[in-house]
Formats: sequence, C-alpha cells, structure tokens
Amino acid sequence: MGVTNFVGEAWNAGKSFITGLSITFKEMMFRPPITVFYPDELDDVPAWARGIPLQKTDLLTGEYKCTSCAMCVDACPVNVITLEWHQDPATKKKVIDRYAIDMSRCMLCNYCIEACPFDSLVMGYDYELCKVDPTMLVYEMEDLLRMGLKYSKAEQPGPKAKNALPPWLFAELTGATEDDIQDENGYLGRPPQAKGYVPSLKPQFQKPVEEAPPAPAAEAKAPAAPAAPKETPTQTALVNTETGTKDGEEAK
Amino acid sequence: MAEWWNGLSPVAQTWLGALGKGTLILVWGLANFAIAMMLERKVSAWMQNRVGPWRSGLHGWVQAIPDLLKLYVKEYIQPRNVDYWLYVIAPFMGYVSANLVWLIVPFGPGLTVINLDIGIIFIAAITGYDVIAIFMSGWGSNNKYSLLGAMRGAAQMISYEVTLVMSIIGVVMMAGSLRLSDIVEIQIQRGFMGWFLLPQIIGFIVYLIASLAELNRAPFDLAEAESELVSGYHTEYSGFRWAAFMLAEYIHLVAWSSIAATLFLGGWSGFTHVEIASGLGNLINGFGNFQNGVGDALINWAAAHTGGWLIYLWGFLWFCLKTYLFVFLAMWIRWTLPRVRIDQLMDLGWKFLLPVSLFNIFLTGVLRFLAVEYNGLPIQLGSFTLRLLGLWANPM
Repeated sequence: MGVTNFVGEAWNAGKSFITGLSITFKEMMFRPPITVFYPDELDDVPAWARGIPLQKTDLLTGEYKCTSCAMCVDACPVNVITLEWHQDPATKKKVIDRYAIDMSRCMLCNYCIEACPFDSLVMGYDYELCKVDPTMLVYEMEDLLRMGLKYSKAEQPGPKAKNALPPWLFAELTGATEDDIQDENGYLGRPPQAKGYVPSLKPQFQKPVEEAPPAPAAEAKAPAAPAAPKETPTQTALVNTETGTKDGEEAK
Repeated sequence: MAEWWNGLSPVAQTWLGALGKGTLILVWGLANFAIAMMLERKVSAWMQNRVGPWRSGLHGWVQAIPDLLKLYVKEYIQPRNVDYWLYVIAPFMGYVSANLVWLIVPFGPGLTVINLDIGIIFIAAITGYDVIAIFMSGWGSNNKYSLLGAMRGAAQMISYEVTLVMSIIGVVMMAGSLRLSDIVEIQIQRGFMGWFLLPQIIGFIVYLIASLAELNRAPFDLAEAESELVSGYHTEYSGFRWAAFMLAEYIHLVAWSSIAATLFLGGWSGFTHVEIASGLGNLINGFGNFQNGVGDALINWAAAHTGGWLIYLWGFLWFCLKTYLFVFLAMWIRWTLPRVRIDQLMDLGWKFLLPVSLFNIFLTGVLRFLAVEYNGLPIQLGSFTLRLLGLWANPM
C-alpha cells in the first residue's frame, strides 16, 4: 500500500463519513416524527387489516345474515367457532341458539370469511380486544352482531354475487348503528323471518313518492335530435310510472 | 464565610475542601449522566423520526430519574460460580474511573479541583484504569460472552490508548505545558480563533476517533456488541450494578468531551459580557471613525465591569457549550455509522491512526522549529504559511 493509496483511502472514508452524517442530520432536522401516540390517538388501519371476525346484520329487517350453514365452523383451522341451532317450525328457517368465537385462540386467518356463502361474516377493523378476564375473550352472538353493525348494509339476505369482487377482501365501514334498522318490528339479533316476509319501514326510511315523470327533459331533448325514433320518450315514461307504483306499494 | 473558612485549621481545610469538591464532582457527574443519557435517547429518536421518551416530565426530558430509581430497586441477579469480589467491585471501579477525569478538568478560570502540572499524564494514567474495571467484570462474571467482550474491550482500549496519548502530544508541543489550565491560557493568548483546532486538525481528528474507541462507543462498541455478545462485559449484571456501568459510560463520554473541548476548542475561553459590550461599542463607534455617545457609553460600561464573578459564569457556560458540542458529535456518529469488525478496528488503530498521529508529532515539531528559529527573518512565504496555519508562537 503506497502513500497515495493511503491518502486516497482516508479521503474516501472521510467523504463517505461526511455523507452519512449529513443524511442523519437532515433526518433529524427536516423530517417530522411518524410516531402515533397510541392510547391518546388511534392510528388508521389499512383496508386489509384483520381485527376480529364479526357477524353482519341486514339493516332492512334487522335479521342476522347468518343461515347456520356451519361452513365457517368447518373452515376454521383452530376450531374456535361454536355453533348451535334449531329449526323454527313456523318459519322453516334455522335459528341460532349459540354462535361464539373464542378470540383467545383465533388466529385471524380469514378462512371463515372466505368460506361464508352468504357474506354474513366480515373481518372487522377493531383491534383493541384486550380483556382483564380471559374468559371474556369468548365473543357471543350479541357481541359479534353489535360490533358488526358498523359494517352492515340494508340488503336482502342471499348468496354472494357471482363473478364479482369477493366481499371479504376489504371490510366496508358503513358506520351503521341500531337506529339504522329500517323495519318497524326489527331489532338487533332478529332471527330469519319466513320466506315472503315484507318489512314495514320506519317513516324516516320510506322513500318519498317520486313526482311526475321528468317529461320536460325528454321534450327538451326531442327538438335537439329530431331524427330520434318515437319509442324513446314512451319507454322512459313507462319506466317512471313503474317505479312510482312500486314506491307506492312499499309505502303501504 | 471567608472568615470562618480562614479560621479553620489547615488539616480541617484540606479535609472539608476535599469533601466539598468530591461531592460537587459526583453531583456534577450524575447531572451530566442525566443530561447526556436523555440527549442520547432524544437525538437517536430524532434521527430515526421518532419522538423518544415522552411521558415523564415535559416531553419525557426527566426520564433518567425514574430509570435510575427503577434500577435502584431492582433485584440483583447473580449467576452461580462468579468470582465474587471481582464481580461486585468491577462496576463501581468503572464508575470511579469515569469520575476521576473530572478532577483535572478546568471548568473556568481557576475552577479546577486539582490543578495538576502533569494533567495530560494523569489522563493517560486513568484511561488504563477503566480497562481494569472492564476486564474484572468480564472475568468475574463466569460467562463466555462477558469474557469475550472483556477481552475485546481490553485489546481495543489498550491499543487505542497509545494513539490517544500520541494525538495529544501535538497539543502539548504547541502549548509547552502539560497543565490543562496552561493549555487553555495559551489558546487565549494566541488571540482570535487561536484554538488548537486548526493547527492540530490532524491530531484533533485522531483524538476524536481514538476517544470514541476508548469510550467503547459506536461504531467501536465491540466490547458490548449486542448482535454478537449479548451485552458484552456487563451481560450478567442487573439492578444498580448494571446502572453503574451505564453511569460510567455516559460520565466518561462527557468527561472525554470536556478534555477535547479543553485541548482543542480553548476550554472556557469565549466572549464575556465585557467583550460583547466593548465590541458592540467599537462597532457603533465605527472603530473610531465616527465616535458617538452610545458607543463610548458601552465601552465605558465594559471597562467598569471587568472582573467579578460573572467571568466565571461565562467561562463555565462556554466550557459546557463546547463540551456538549463534542457529546452531540459522538451521538451523531453513533447513530450514523454501523459497528466495525474487530480486525477492522485493530487495523484502523495500529495501521492508520498511530502512524498518522506520529506524523502529526513530526509535522508539529518541524513547523514549531521553523516558527521559532526563523521568527523575524524575512522568509515571507514561510512565515505567512505558518501564520495561516496558526503555528506562530506569538502573533504579535
């Protein structure tokens, strides 16, 4: 190693040393901290976060969407889901006696949500699940429904849509509460009703009866396109009358 | 107070003075530990985009006190078959050796515990003291990691001790004295920016690197390399015994920084209120070109207020400022560079730093000889260069 090599190495070492120091100095002076003060403020979780499997409610009637098919029980690799049910002779539907998830052993693998054929389970974002008493970690149906309310929507229970984005990919936060159950007789944890059940909605959820068909729009459009066939305005009118009658029926 | 003190017998004065000074030094060491440790945690947090300790005190700045209290009440867990006395004494030996450095540090004009005329040699002596503590703890712990860490620490510290002292020799040659207060006085006499930082820049850089290695700090913290040896020589310590090692580490850091500030940055020298006022007065007077009342008043005020205890306060403040500049530099380096390997460390020490420090001694000697020998002779270029380097004995 000659003298030039010696000096050159020292020079290079010093240069890289200064570069490193300047990087840390910039980080110190010009980058704000990314710390979230956890108990005081909660961080937003990403859309794919898995907190706890929850039961959804159909907000139209207040029924739970679960049909006691036990697919989730089969899918669970650690056997934490307990399901007991009986058939209601009046409605011919399965009624849940007990549905519980033991969160002390649940490993949040998402398999139950993927297995659910009726989109009844959802992986919620709730992550503050600590309990003083470990036996409290068994989440019963009421807890699951109550926590799952904010992921629920008003929709008829039914099978998953074919060829659509799987609903279990991301939990959709709707922020619903118990007041958002639209049926007058509905309540949280209502068992499935008979097949032809038509809910009677609370007044604030009744859709207002639509006014007369928007004929002016069609008329204004007509002179602009005189070559358009005659059938178009009549079709729109038909559709409008149809929806109007439908709303009227629901109101009754 | 002075009367009472003078009325005491010389023996009582010696003992009481020693007790008071020792207490002050220990308290000062503890205070510096708290500040330096908090600074380290905060600086590391800022460099990593965190906030650091946040809950105790204002933004967590008093975290050191609960930490020490917690360590004080913790259980001493002692492994079987330790060499008891070595194991127990080692941490406190390290603590004592860290505090010893403070004895000769000039905090201000005349503010020294012992104004030793062989101050530099004293420093060289007590660096060896710390090696003993580390090796005692490593040997006494009956643990392979502790022993490995202690062996590494001993090898590292003994080899870097040579370099450290060699890098200081240049300063001693320029100052012509081993007394630390003399070194500061000479730096003040050299005038504006007469610090030994510029003429001894090679020695300064070598001292910086060697003192980091001597302190067992990253990137040279091989004695307690967490990724290889669990915690090195203090693996088997818990409670306040472990805390004593931590105390020693940070007190050592601040003490070595204060030595660096004394040797290279002019110690307690700096502007005082007198100099600020007279300088401001000169500026307002246009350096005599347009004298006015305000400038004259400022200069007169400065002339009337020379002396007094404020001088000591200013000296102390400048000293602390310069010391913590070095403390911050050490932390900055620690949170920037990764740890080196043991062979790289030895290569750096023996093959690079030691030759460079010897070359620095040679260069300083030659330049000093030229400066003294040809002072006043019309070697314009040479004297100008020497002046520029700050190696001229007297700038007058």
